[in-house]
Amino acid sequence: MSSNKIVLTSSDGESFEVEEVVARKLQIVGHMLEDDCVINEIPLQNVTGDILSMVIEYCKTHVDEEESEEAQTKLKTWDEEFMKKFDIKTLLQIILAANYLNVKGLLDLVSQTIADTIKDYTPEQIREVFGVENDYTEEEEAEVRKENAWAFDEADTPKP
Amino acid sequence: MDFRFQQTIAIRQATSGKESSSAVSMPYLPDDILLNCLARVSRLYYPTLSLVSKVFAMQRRKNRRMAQQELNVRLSSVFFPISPQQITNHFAYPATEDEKSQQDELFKILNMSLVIISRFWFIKSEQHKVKDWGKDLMSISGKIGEAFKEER
Repeated sequence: MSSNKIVLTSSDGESFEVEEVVARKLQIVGHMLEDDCVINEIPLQNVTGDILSMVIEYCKTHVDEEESEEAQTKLKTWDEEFMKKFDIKTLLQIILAANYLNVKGLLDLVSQTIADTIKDYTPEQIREVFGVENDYTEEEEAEVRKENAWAFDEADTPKP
Repeated sequence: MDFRFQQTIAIRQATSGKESSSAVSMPYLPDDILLNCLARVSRLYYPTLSLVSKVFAMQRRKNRRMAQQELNVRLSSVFFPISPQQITNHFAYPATEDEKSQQDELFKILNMSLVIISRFWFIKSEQHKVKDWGKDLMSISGKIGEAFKEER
């Protein structure tokens, strides 16, 4: 196929030259190319350069997804190692980018990574990560703790 | 999207202005992405999640209900292909040719199950050194088979 190059530009003006097959992994780009096939420079308003470079790295690795079990295992290992590089804040930025650029595989991967990360968090940490307000009164919170007493350490479960 | 979740978004937006700078620099996820992440957390961790906020707790209950519904849609006939009524009918004399062939089919299934069960018990009883149980069942199955052949 064509080894046509496409330039993707981030919101902070950083440019990335990638092959068309890689750029098409971003569905938003794929749709633009279908609408008008002579574009070779695409500005992406909602992504910064550092995050876009991560997304491109993912797309380059996943550009030819082979069916063979060996290739699948190799990709999966790569995915795991790739995700280990990021803290929760970066993961949130990547998931937003994956959603905006419409990269289904990356969206799934990061969603799962976030789920695996927050499972070890305290309720306070989860609230901070997602910006969620604690809407329990003290009595209600004690009630929920009582209901799930088996799941919490004895130390932080008030004795009745 | 869920009404109560929309409310949380409103709370999130209202409070984001006055929160500490570290919290403000955290990007907030849209509802659908946030819910997708929550749904992927193993149910083992739901007690912690339900302490986060009422909305999280509600979402947890909803997920659990959905999981139960998925289980409940299976018809009982999937698990019990032979109803108790059919077994009772087996002992009545067949009135028509149709009934007779139905009974024959049913008998085959019953006999096959008995063979399987008795073999299973035979293996079990070998392990537990109570061989007689398995042997008894084997011989019951054999006798039913013989009686059936003689009758027809």
